[in-house]
Amino acid sequence: MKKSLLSAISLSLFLALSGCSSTVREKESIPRMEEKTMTEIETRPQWQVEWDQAVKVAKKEGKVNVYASFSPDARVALTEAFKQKFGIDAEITVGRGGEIAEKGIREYRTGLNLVDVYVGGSSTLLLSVKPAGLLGKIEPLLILPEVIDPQVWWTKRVPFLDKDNLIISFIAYPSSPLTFHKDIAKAEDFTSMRGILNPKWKGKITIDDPTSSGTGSTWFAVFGSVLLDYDFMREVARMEPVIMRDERLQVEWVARGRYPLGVAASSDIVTEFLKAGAPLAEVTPVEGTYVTSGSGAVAFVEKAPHQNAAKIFVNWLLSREGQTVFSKAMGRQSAREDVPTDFLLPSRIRQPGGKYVRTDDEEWRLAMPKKFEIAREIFGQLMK
Amino acid sequence: MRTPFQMSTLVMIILLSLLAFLTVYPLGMIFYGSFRSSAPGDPGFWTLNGYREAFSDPTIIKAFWTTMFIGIMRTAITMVTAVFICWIVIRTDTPFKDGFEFLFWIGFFLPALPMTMGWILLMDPDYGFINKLWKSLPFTTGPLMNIYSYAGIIWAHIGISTSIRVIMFAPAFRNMDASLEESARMSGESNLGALVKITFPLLIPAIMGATLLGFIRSLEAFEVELLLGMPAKIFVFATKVYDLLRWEPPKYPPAMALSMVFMIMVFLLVFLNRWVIGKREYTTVSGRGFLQRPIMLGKWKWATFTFCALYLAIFTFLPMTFLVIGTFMKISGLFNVPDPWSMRHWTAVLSDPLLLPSLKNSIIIGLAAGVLGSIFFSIISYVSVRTKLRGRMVVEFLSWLPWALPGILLALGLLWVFLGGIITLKFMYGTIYILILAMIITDIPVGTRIFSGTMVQLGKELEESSRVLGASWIRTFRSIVMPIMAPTFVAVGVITFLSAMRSIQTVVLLYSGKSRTLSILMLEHYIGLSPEKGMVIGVMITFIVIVVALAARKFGLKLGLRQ
Repeated sequence: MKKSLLSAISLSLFLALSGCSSTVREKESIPRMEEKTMTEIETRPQWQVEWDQAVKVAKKEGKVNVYASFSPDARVALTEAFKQKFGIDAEITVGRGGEIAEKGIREYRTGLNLVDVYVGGSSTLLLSVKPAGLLGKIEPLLILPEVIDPQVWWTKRVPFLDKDNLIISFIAYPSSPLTFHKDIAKAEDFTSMRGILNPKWKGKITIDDPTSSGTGSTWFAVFGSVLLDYDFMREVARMEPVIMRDERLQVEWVARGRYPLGVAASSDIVTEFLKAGAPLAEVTPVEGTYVTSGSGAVAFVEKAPHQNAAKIFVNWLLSREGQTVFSKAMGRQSAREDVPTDFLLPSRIRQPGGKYVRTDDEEWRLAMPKKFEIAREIFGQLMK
Repeated sequence: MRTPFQMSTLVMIILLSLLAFLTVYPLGMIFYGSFRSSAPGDPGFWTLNGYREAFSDPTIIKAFWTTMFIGIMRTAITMVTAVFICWIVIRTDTPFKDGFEFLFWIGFFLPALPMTMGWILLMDPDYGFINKLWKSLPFTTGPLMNIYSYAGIIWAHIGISTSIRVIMFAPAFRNMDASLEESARMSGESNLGALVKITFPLLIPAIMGATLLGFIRSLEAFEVELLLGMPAKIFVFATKVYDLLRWEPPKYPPAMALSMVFMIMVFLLVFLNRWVIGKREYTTVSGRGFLQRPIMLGKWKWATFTFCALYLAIFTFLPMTFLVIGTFMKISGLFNVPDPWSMRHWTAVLSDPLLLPSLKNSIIIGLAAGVLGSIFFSIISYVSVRTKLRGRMVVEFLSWLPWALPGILLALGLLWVFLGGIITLKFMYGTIYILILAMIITDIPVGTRIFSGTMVQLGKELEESSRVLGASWIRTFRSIVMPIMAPTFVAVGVITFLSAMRSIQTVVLLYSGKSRTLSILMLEHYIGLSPEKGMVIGVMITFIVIVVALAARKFGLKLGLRQ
């Protein structure tokens, strides 16, 4: 009996002590757990908390709707990479700038909010989409430090295109204003852009139409009003160039030697021809050239149906990873300085100390209609 | 109990309302927009500035006359050629004539722009393959033909335009009663004389309708003209419209103002059509049936065989060959590079995850538009040409309207109607249903012209017998007319299906990620400045055309009436 009593007392004591110790342990644990969580919260940056929360909600939203005017190669690359990274579908509808803008504007005006993000040319976004009132402030969406860090961008600031900071241009590639047939002409002939005024090139030059929106009008505006002047343009008109509307045909004619010089030829098409081994060469004259975003501008729609997915997409697109995917798919240099360029042609890479005119900001674009008029005055006769 | 008269009136009201919504409404939006300072739905004010800007262009008058010249020449040449070809493949004993007719179907659906690029490779004055061969001959001095010229533009259109006319004329040729021509020959007329004096006059409704449609289409054409005309400074009217829409932002009011010219042309042509056809009879199929016996040409059948074979070889096989070859080249047509061949375009297209969903959408849209469109077009045609109902001329007129505007403006009109009209179809927006509807609207002019061209040949006694026995006109249509017209139904259905497969402009503003079609994928590649990949899809669409046309042919598809 004594033994049983002793055993019972021992057992009780043991149990009590275990409970206490566990309680102590628990009590000891609870403060440790609370400390650990509080430590985590204190050390986890605010942006990370915000980002994780946004990703969580975006996954529930399931998709982001993007209206874009870039190539299907870029569509496939972006869709796959985004899905792989976040498990969220990027439904990208591609069209010509004006058409895709009109589609989105009509939908918006009739209360159909289908699109989350626009990615396209600066002209379309600045002159069509923005004035329609669709866009929301993109700045508050930017979460990732690598996106808002001004040092990563070539302009040393986040490259907003407009004064209201609604549109960001994330591509900035230099365009070679002159392409030539390398068996007929030499680069030394065009150290200066004025080299095309040599009488031997009379009637042998093609120019992309400078009187409407496109590479030709950009070339005209840059060399007519910034790097050179409109007298130069009048002299070019006296060289009886052929004004081209078909970008592909222009490059083809240069490659065949039918017209050995191509002014303001499409960089993308020239790149394709160069990769195929066509006898073409490009030159950037001493006066400089222009940097453009092509279809590389992004804007956020205020009434986006998938707000968080849009946020994630925009941040990812502007990140080093997203920019690498886009730059590789489009063959154009990112406006970020930390994106690899080894897959780009040397002529598509900004050179340190290079003289580049930026052609995508709002002020420039709003001034273009007047420049079209001047181009029509100078080159209009050649189109009759 | 409703009398047939009341039922007919009800049907007429429904039909007119439907047609008005589908055709007048979108065009009305364009007309309205031409007098506004901005696009419909946007804040703006009433103004004539659109018209001022559009018609103050000093080159607009010249562009208009250039358009008329090219349109008239192109239409005249293809009409005469198509009539002759139809006579050969349908009315004579030319060997392999069924095969030739089938090949014209294929020619109809070949994509215009890649085919034009093929012609450039062949007929560029400096490096064109044919011109280089021609210049290598000892007695020649210059190129055989410069593709960058008026002649070149007309030439590039001939192949596809003639195929379209052959398909549209074929039903009427098939329904010719051979006894009429035999009577002419027995009276001493030659085969060609019978064609000109007997066959052709009886086929005026079918020929007129198709020819006028073709002429309207030629007024609105601009892609080929842009490619071939620009280097030669040949500008057409539609290019001006296109220019205005290319602006950022697009200049809708002047573009819409310019398009009013097309509308006026359509009004005039519809009245011309009515006036020429008039109240004459064109019956070739009556209650006693009709004789289908080919005209025996004797040794001349080999001449007609050679003519058709050469024609198809030049206008279908040659450019199609270059189209296919181009898809296997790094840069289509560029042979002067090291190792010009590549499979990468095919690889890129075939590995696009959107290819199969787009193909599926195209097939569904095509099938639905084909079936529903056929029924709808046949009702419109029947009411227009077979009934005496009040309002039938309005019905006929409305059926021309979808082609009164260039394709992109019609698409714009449809977008505005579907999203913001009096009766909106927002619930359908972004789905394939709205694309089906848009495709049916776009093909109303073609479908109704083919049906009308055949229906005028039906004798009245067929339906009168039915009515005498107490059947309503709806019952008569269903039980008498439809069975006789079965082959035409199938043919129009196939044409609408194939047209839906390759349509771009109609769907470009209405599609969404879920309803993307094969033709939109093709457009994406052209936008992405990769025409070779677009050509790959063009080849795929052509392959589908061949398969569908072969399958339909296996089931006895012929444009015309069932015996």
